[in-house]
Amino acid sequence: MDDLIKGLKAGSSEAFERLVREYGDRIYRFSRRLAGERGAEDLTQEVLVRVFRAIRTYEPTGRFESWLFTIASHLAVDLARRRRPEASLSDVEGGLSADRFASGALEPVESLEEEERRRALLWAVEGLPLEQRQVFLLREEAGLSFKEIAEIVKCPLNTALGRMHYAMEHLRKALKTHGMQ
Amino acid sequence: MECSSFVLEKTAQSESPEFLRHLASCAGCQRDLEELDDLRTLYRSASIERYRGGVPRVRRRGWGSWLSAGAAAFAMIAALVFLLSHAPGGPREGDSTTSKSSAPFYRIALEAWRGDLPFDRAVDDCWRQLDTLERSR
Repeated sequence: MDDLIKGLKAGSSEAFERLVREYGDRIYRFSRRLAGERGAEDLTQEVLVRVFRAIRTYEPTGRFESWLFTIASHLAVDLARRRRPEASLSDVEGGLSADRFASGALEPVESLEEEERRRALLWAVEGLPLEQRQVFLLREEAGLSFKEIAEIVKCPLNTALGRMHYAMEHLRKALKTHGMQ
Repeated sequence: MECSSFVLEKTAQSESPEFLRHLASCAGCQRDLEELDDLRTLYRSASIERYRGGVPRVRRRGWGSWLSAGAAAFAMIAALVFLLSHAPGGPREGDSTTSKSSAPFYRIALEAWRGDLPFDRAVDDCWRQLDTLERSR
């Protein structure tokens, strides 16, 4: 990690490639779930470029991921507020199946029921209220602590915990509605 | 502490001894936690899309680029000031048809860049077109 930050601070293109390799997927999924599929790749690129340009101002007092996802979160929330996510179930279906088969994570014989549960969950995550979705994704996609999340979202720790709690409740109910849990 | 608070603690993954003691005796919390863990596992197995945008092209804005941008802006402003201060400011001599309010075309000496034949021809073409335009005004 230190090498990556040192490389980025020095303006190394290899370090930038490593940043894309190590964080590109997570930033993409975070952006996609928060702001919608359309434009998620552009948003990911913007986050990566901003991180590269702003790395000189990064002080390693906190975790690098926390700083990185602060940038991602602000950009994605800003975009999400400007427009509603357009991801439709068909988007989720297509993206999921293609990616899973490509990565070898899904055997063709894997039960359709399991695949349906995954689709329903992603659909439910994308349907969460923005504030809950932001906290949920900062936790589950970015892997941040609730203290870090509260700092990014600029709310008390208990509010962040409460949003996560409600998000989980929403998701649980959504899956139950689909008769899947 | 209420059950919902315990579940929140689990959400925050701060498993205090008090929480663990309660968990051992509370079937409701045990069920809640199992569901939460299932949700997390399911989400991790579902959220697997890959970023396919490649490495963006980027040039960091360092002092060098700011200096060159500043120098270019300064040169443009200086050129504009020079042109305006040396502008004819009105119609050319003997041109009685051009009104005072119409903006004149400024001719900039390009001789310094001349020499190459195609470039020469292009410059001459430009002048010819400018003359035609001026005559038509």
